Amino acid sequence: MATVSVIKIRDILLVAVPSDPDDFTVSELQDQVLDALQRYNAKGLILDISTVETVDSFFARTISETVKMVALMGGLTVLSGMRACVAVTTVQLGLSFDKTLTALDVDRAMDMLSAAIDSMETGL
Amino acid sequence: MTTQSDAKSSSIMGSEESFRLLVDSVTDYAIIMLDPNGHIASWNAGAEKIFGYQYDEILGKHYSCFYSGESLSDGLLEKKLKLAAENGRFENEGWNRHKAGSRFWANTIISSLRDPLGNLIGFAIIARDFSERKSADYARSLIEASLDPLVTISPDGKITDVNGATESITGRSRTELIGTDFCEYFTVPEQAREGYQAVFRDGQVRDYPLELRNVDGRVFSVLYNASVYRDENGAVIGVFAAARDISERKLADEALKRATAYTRSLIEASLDPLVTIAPDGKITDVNGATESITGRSRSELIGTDFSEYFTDPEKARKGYQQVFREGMVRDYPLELRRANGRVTSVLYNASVYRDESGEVVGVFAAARDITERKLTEERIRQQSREILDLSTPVMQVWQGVVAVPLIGTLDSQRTQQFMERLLERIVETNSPVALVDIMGVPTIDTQTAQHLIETISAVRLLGAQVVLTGVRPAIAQTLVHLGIDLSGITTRSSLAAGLLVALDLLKLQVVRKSDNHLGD
Amino acid sequence: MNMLCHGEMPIDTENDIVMARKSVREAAVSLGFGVTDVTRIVTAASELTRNIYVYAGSGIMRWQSINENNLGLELVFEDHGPGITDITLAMEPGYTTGKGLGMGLPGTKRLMDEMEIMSEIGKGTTICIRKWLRR
Repeated sequence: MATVSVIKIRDILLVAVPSDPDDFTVSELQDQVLDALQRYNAKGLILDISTVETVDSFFARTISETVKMVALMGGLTVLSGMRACVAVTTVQLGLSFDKTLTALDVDRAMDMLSAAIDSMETGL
Repeated sequence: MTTQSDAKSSSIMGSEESFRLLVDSVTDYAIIMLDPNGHIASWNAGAEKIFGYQYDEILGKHYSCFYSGESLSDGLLEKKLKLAAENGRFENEGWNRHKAGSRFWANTIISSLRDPLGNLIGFAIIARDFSERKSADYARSLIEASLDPLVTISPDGKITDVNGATESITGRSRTELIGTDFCEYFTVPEQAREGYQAVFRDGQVRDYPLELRNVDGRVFSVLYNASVYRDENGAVIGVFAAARDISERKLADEALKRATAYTRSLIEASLDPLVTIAPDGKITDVNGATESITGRSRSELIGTDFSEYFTDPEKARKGYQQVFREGMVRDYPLELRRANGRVTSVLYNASVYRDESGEVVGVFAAARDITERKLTEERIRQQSREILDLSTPVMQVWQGVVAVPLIGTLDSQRTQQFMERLLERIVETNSPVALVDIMGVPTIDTQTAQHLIETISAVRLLGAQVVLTGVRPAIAQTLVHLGIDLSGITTRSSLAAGLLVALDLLKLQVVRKSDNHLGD
Repeated sequence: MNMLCHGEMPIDTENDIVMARKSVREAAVSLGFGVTDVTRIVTAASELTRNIYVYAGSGIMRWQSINENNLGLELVFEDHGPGITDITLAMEPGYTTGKGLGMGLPGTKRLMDEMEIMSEIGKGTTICIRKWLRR
C-alpha cells in the first residue's frame, strides 16, 4: 500500500499521487488532504498526478469529490500533470472532471493558485 | 489288468482257429478287439501295419492311444463306445494317430460283441487307412476352389487337366480343353510355348505375363506361376501352371498410375509450397516449391520435423495439431526460415487426408508466400501513416502555443491519432494553449464534432486550452443545425484571431515597433 | 506467437484490482501496444475487475494474446454474482446500481475494439473484451 505524503508550501498543499494507487490509498488520500487543509489552514491544493498511469471511474469520482469538499472548506484545487494517454482514456471512458482546474505541471499549478489566492485576499 | 484282459481275450477268442488265421492274414484292414472297458484284447497284422504297434506292446492298452489330443476331448471316445453298445455299431471317418505320432485319415467301424445271453463282452473295431483317398479328394477340392485358373500340361504341350476357373476364363469346358495345345489359347502362342518350355527346362517360372483369349474374344492379362511335377520316382511328368488374372488390377493400376502421375505433376506445378505431414509432425512429402522456399532438397526435408523450419516452431506445431483436431485450418500465418536464414511470411491452408478406410493418415498443407503482399501492405501502411502525419503537423508557433491545421475528412481513426499526437505535443512543449484550425475540414458531422469535443476535453484535463479556429460560415451553420454545443470553447474564424487569443491567455501582447526605430 | 502471453488470476480483494492492472499492463506492453492503448486496456480491466469486486464479491480474470491476421489481446472477466438484469440498459451511459460513476460498461466498450457480455440472473456474468494492435 502506497502512503501519500502531503507537503505544505506556504498556504498551498502539494500532494503527489502514487502511480498505481489501490482504492484504499485513494480513499485515504481524501481523508489526509482534508485533515491537512484544516490543520494548516491552507488555501490551495495541488494534486499532482504526473506519475499516475491509470485513471478509472473510482479514482476520478474520489478526486472529483475531494475537489468539491476542498471547495466547501474554502480551498481551491488544481489537478496537475495528467499524462496525455491518461487524458485520452479518461475522456473516452466518459469522465470529465467537470469544473476542476487543471495545469500542465506543478509550476503552472503554483502560479495559478498563487494568483487566485492573491486576488481572493486583495478582494477581501 | 493285463492278466485279466488276457483271460478275457482267450475266452472270446476261444472259437475257431481258422477264423483267427483269416483275421490275421488281412493286412489292408485293422481288426481289433476291445474288452467292454476299451482295452485292446486282440490285434491283427493289418492293425500292426496301419497303427504301427506290435501285438505285444499294444495288448491291454486303452484304445485312446489311436487318437491325437483334439479327438480325445469332450468324452468323444466314451460316447463312441456307448453308441456302439447301444446300437450294435458305430461308423465314422476321422483323424487317427500312428505310433510314430503322424496323423492319418481312417474309416472306423466299431461293433459291439455280446454273448448269447446278450451281455456285452467287448467291441470289434475294423479300421481302414483312407489317407491317400482323402488327400487326393482334398487336393482336388482345393484346386477347384481356387479362383486362379490352374492347368497341367504334358511335356508335349497338351493340356492334361484344368480347374473350374480355367473353364470360365477360357469360356471352354474341361472336356474341350483336355488334350488340346496349351498355347492355342493365348494371343501370342509362341510366347506361351516358350513359357512352359522354360518350366520344363528350369523347373519353374514366376509371374510370366501372357494374354489369354476367351472364346468370346475378350483378352485377359494373366501372370503365370508354374512348376514341374513328378511321379513317385522323381521323373518329370508335366507342368502345373497357375495363372492370375490381372486384367482388372492392370486397368486399376494403370488408372492409378496415370492419376498419380497427373496429381504429382499438378503438385509439382504448384507455385505454392506443398507438404504432407504425418501425425507425429514429420514431413512425409514435399513438392518443388517447398524445396525452393526452404532452400533444402526433398531428401533433406522428408522425415524431419515440420515445425523446425519456422521461426516459431511451437506455433507451427499448434497449427498442424489444430488440423488433426479440427480437420483443417485456413490462412494460418507462419514465418518460414530458409536455409540461408532469410525469413518468408506464409499463410498455411491445410486439411487432413485419409486412407481408403477413412482413417486420417496425415495433413496436407499448402503455404502461400505473402512476403510480397506483406511488404506492399507495410508500404501502404507506412505511406498512409506519413500522409496522416503530414496532414496533422502539430507546430509550436510560439513559446507555450502549439497549432494544428486539420485538413481533409476526419474519420474516427484519424481523429484518434490526431488527438494522441496533439496531447503528446502539448505535454512535450509544455504549451498551455493549442490552436486547432478546422479551415481545411470540408464537412463536419455529429461524429466528427464529438471527436473534436473529446479532444478539447482531453486537452483541458492536461491543463491546457484549445482555441478552435477557421470556423467557416458553412461549418458554423452545420454545428448549430446539428445542435452541437461548443459554447464552452473559445472559437475564432481565423488562425490569426486565434493566435491573438492565445497570446492574451499567456498574458502577452503584440506591440508595433515605433516609427523612430525605423528611422534609425 | 499464437500464445505470446496468457494467464489468469482470481479477483477476491480490493488489492486484486491493482494486481489485475499490473498483469494486464505487462501483457499489453509485451504485445507491443502503444502507451495510449495500454492505458485504455488497463483502465478497462480496472473497471471490470472492480465491477466483479463490488457486485459479485469474487471472480476471475483471464488474459491471452490472440492472433487472427492481426495480433490482439483478449481479456475475460467471469463471476458468479447476481448477473445483469438488462444488458441493453447497463450499456446506456449513466446507468449505475453501485458505487461507480455509471460510466463503467459503455465507457469500457469505447476504450476497447470489441466487447461481449453474457449474463444470467442469479448465475453470473462473463464479459469478454478485445483490443487489436494498430499497425
